[in-house]
Amino acid sequence: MLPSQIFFWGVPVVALASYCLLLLVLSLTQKDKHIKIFMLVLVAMIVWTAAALLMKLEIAPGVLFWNRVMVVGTLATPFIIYIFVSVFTDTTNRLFMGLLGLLTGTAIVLNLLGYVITDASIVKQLVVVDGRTYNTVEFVYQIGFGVYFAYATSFLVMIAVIIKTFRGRKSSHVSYGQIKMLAVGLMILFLGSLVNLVPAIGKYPVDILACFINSLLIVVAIFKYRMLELKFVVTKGLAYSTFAIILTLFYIYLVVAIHENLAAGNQRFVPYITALAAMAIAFLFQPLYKQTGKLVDKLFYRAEYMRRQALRSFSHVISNNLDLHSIANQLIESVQKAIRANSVMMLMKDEERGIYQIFHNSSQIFRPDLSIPNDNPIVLWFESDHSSLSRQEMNSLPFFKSMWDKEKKTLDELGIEVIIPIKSRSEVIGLLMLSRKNNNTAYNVDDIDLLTYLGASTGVAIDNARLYSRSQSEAMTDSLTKLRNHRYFHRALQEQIEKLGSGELSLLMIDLDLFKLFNDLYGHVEGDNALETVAAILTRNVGQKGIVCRYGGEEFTVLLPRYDTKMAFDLAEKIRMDIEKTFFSMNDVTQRFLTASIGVCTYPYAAPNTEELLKRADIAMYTAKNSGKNKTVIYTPEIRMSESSLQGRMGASGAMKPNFAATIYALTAAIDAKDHYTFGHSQKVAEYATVLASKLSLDKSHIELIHEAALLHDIGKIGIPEHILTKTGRLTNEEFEIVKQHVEMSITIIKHLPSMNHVIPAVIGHHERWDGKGYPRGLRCENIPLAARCLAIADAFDAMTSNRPYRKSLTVNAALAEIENNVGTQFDPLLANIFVKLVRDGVIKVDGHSSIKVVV
Amino acid sequence: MVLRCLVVVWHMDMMCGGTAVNLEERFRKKQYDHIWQEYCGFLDLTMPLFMDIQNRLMLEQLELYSNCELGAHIMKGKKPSSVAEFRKVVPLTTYEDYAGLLLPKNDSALPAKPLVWIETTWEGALNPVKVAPYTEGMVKNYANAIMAALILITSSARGEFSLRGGENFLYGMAPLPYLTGLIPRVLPLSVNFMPSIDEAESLSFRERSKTGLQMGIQKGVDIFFGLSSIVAKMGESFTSGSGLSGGIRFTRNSPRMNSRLLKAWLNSKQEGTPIRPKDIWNLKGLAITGTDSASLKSKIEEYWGIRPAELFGGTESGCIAVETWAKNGLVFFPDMDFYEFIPKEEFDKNLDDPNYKPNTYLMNELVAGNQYELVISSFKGGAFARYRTGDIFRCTSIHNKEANVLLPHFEYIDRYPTIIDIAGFTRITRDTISQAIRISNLDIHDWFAIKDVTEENRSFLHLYVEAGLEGMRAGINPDIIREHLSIYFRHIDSDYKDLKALLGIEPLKVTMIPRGSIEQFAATFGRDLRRMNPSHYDLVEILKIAGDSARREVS
Repeated sequence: MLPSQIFFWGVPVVALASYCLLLLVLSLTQKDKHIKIFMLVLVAMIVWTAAALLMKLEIAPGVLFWNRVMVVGTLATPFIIYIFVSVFTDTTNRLFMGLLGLLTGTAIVLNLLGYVITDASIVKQLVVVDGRTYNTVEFVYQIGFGVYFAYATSFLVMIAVIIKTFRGRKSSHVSYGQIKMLAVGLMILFLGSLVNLVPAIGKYPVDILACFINSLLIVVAIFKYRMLELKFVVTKGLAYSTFAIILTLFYIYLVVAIHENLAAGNQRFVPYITALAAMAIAFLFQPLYKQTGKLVDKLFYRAEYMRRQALRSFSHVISNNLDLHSIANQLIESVQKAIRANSVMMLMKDEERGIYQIFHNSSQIFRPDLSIPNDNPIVLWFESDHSSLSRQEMNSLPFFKSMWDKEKKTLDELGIEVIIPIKSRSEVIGLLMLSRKNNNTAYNVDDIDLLTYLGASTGVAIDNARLYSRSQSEAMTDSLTKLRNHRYFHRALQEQIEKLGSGELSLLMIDLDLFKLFNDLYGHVEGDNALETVAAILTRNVGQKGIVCRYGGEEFTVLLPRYDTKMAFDLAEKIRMDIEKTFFSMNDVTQRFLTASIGVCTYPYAAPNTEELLKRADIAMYTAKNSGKNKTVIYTPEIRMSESSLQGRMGASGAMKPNFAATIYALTAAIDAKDHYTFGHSQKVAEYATVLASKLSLDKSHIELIHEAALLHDIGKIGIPEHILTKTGRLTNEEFEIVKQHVEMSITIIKHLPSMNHVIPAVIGHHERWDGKGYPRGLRCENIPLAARCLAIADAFDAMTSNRPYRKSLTVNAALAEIENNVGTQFDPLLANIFVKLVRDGVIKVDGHSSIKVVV
Repeated sequence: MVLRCLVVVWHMDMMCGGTAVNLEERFRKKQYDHIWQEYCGFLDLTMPLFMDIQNRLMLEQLELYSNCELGAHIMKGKKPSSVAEFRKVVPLTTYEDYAGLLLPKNDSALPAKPLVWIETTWEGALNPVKVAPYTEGMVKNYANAIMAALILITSSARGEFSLRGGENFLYGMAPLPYLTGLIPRVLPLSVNFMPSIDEAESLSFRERSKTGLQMGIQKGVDIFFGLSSIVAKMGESFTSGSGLSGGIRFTRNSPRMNSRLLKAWLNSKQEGTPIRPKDIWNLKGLAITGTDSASLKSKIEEYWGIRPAELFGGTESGCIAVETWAKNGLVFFPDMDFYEFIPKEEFDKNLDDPNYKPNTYLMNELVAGNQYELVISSFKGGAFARYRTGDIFRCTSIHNKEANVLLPHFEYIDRYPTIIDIAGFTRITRDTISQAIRISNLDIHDWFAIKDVTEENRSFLHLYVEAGLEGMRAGINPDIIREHLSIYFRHIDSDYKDLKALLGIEPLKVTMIPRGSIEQFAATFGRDLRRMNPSHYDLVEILKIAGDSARREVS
């Protein structure tokens, strides 16, 4: 068979089969007006093509008859397409349509009356090509005068169709994409019909081919732009089958053609060669079938195909994803892939500010300034369990009347068409906003379903990510101060060194002075509060410039990338002074002594690696501590040497002690010298308290502590004006308040005595009362340190039995009676009773200091 | 100035033109449910949702208002951050508070740039007109409210309405710069205004009504919107035959209208009854407004064959309330203004003691059966804050269960007692009367005035006067006083003369009472008699003092 013959027969056969199948499919489905009119187009084209085939087959009543039927189809098709385009673009002009209908009708009548084609016949002849003989069939026709009118009408209608198609672009609800398909198809139809006028071409079914291509493009336009939901129209299987049948027909046709061509040769091998050819073609067609399946998916199920793809990749990526940014990114990508919106934005709730802000958006360049407050009706709408919100709903529902003009304007400017909530349980944690789609079509139910699903999945993923992030953060965070912890510090230190290379990194090692004592004095609750306060001070001062960690206990570290020693020292001093100032300005005066010692070391100049950096900052910090506390020291090699020597000197435990003992006695003498009337008071209190402590079977070190505390308990009186200390009359309230400050002053002095910090709890508590009415802290019962309770009794007893500027001494018995009277109110009952008994039994002798034997 | 007006009108046309295309397309696609939802969906709101809208829009307004000269002036420099604080710190206002900044039409002092300035007569007579700026947001809201009203006046049940676009709209309201003149400019639906917008604006009120009626006879009328007094008067004129006299040219009429006219004429002859508007027109909707609406409703229905629906609006407030399909009470739009209400007891106290600061209540705090004066605060960058409108409403019910509308329903009662509104045309104040008496040179010793109604429910001004000694000597009588005062009222108030010309009513009646009656009232009750609309109790008492003749007059 010659190629021209294949074309002659093949085109109408394939076109007719396709039309019939499509008509069958459409007739089985729900139809809207587009489909109904398109079915009419198909009917006209079936008439056209079927008549052409019947004519070629010379079926009765004859070629001329079928030719005229074919012309009816040829004339009717453009007019019905005109109606279709009118409805499709929603630009129906009834008057013009009537006129075209009239012209078309006239042309059809002329045709049926025989004025268009006067005669038509099929001429069969034998043709020899390359020495081989072929049967050829050609169509020959005679035209009448009516053909000019018929063609003119047909072209007029087609031109009207094309003009209407392009005008339809201006209509707001028809996109260029939709029109483009129709326009291309119509142009092909127009050209096909035009070339048909040339007899040399007209004898071939070029017009039918053009018509077939046009109908295919209309089908694509209908499905691609969602003019109808394919899933309602036809099952996927049917769609595959349709294309499979077309391919099979083509396959059969090819095999038959080969068989016919071989028939002219050796008859013996014809069946074998045909069978072989059929297998070869079948083999070649196999991938074609597969491709057809994909084509059906992409062409007719494009949206669904893209949605499936998007869902698959989204589910895959977020199932194990715990990074918020990555989840957001994947969501935006998936939405873009499935929906093809011009822009997609994801807003997340800022809990602190109570607003929703853009967290991620599809544009890499433009990040819109959009924030939606908590009380915006959009948020309230989703809180009341709605799963989506369209622009139309926003514009028409009374619920949204409370939106502000500027809020509406922002959403308008961004072209937001659909909003989907991202919820964690019932809380709206984010919003997904989409602008209009690339092809300008409206969002349909499938789109919204998909977006709702993505929104819900994202909510769950974000929830998981947040939980993970929280647990990660908790593992790296100190639960008390909310600062990063020791573990994080080491990781961060390593990371910073690696990141900075040869860049500077300063480390501040901060240790709170006498913090153990602080805890002992005020309890761990107060100690924790103090640590939180220090953490807040550090965070406030460092901000984003560095990383603050709680290294452990009362030690903090601050990593300062790109900070040289000077800058680090300045910041350390700022921190130190802030701590001092903060605690000094506290209402509770007894807490004033909390200060910090800070060591500064800078990598790489003062330390070659992380280990040395840490070690040397530590040395600097200890140097600060050992040189009076509450200071900042920068690490230098000299410090290291002096530190070593210091450590060497301190090597033997208590080697320094005699020096301190001397200091204690010197200080005691100083206060005794200042307060003449209480001359020897500290000494006597030390003696009484030590006897009492011995009776309590306390261990040796505790008794020693009581002794030392007793010697130092009034040391703060050095700071009290002498005229008050020696006043003979009763003290005024103001004067008494000043006297009460001696406790605080004692501590201020003692804390500067290295190794004497342990006596502070006893000293600070010696004016506390068993019933909680004492000062400075109002502690009660066992909360008062035991040593302080011993001092309180001894102090009171000696005060009563000594002469004072404002009164004479009481007798021992009177003093004991007074102690007994205050048992359970001022004094610890157990200790007071023991003390009274010790005095009465003569173990404690009041007359003559030396008579009391100190048991140490 | 001309250029600016043109620009404004063009802008409004553009603004609403876009919406019109959209709305008309929806009408064409028969999306009636969506259209109802968009414009009349507010009738589905619950009271809490209504208040949420009120509060949130008020916060938007506060943000705008706090940052402008007018806001600083009215709020005395305070910047309230909540609605409650706003109501606490900002005093109630009247137009006098705004006159200094609004009358010069100074845009820069306002919370937002106005699109158009609306004017009306100022009953206080301190200035001939008062003006109110309308921003783009306000104009949009106004257009939506009018559209909602049109849908509702053509509705028979929830969601069922017959408005389709292209209707013949007989429009009997004042043109720009009055507020009602905005309607043809902003309506988001094409209707056939009769007469056309451009023609109407060049005609006087009387010519406009006449031309509209002629066109109505030629083409038919589907919708009619007018002052209740005018609508009633037109019905009356038709019935008496004067409405059709000399106006019908059958050759110009559409065949449909000619057949209707013929049918109406035949019926009229057969039954011996006059032709009424309802015999020739089959209205889809009839909207009325004005102080006499409630009293004239039944009569209007009788003439026009359709129950009229009432609208309520004002220059300062915009169109704020409309009746539903049930036509049994006004329902307020949630997004036009922020509404507060002064109970009658409170404004009565304020009438007696101008220094008294009346308390206000919100929409969700009202009691059915009580009367309230409306106080509004503009939304969308408008000028007014806690503005006393002087309009008195009765809350007829907290909701209408039958129609399933869960918002309060209202009946418009009248203007504030110190203002006498006659047929919606003119508003007479104490100043207007004092001025007329002063320039008439009549020797009138004292007076008080009430708004009275005729047997036909037509309102008029009833002035009770005590003649002075000179007047008594000169034989002054009620006719002389009425003649004189009518002349001066016409001079002072341009709308006054239309009352008789258009409605054929005598708006003023004078009754003389014995000299000293008003003083005796004060001596007896220890307080002055209110000169404008004294309370019913006080009126009875003063007329007792004045004697039987006066009492007979009032009865």
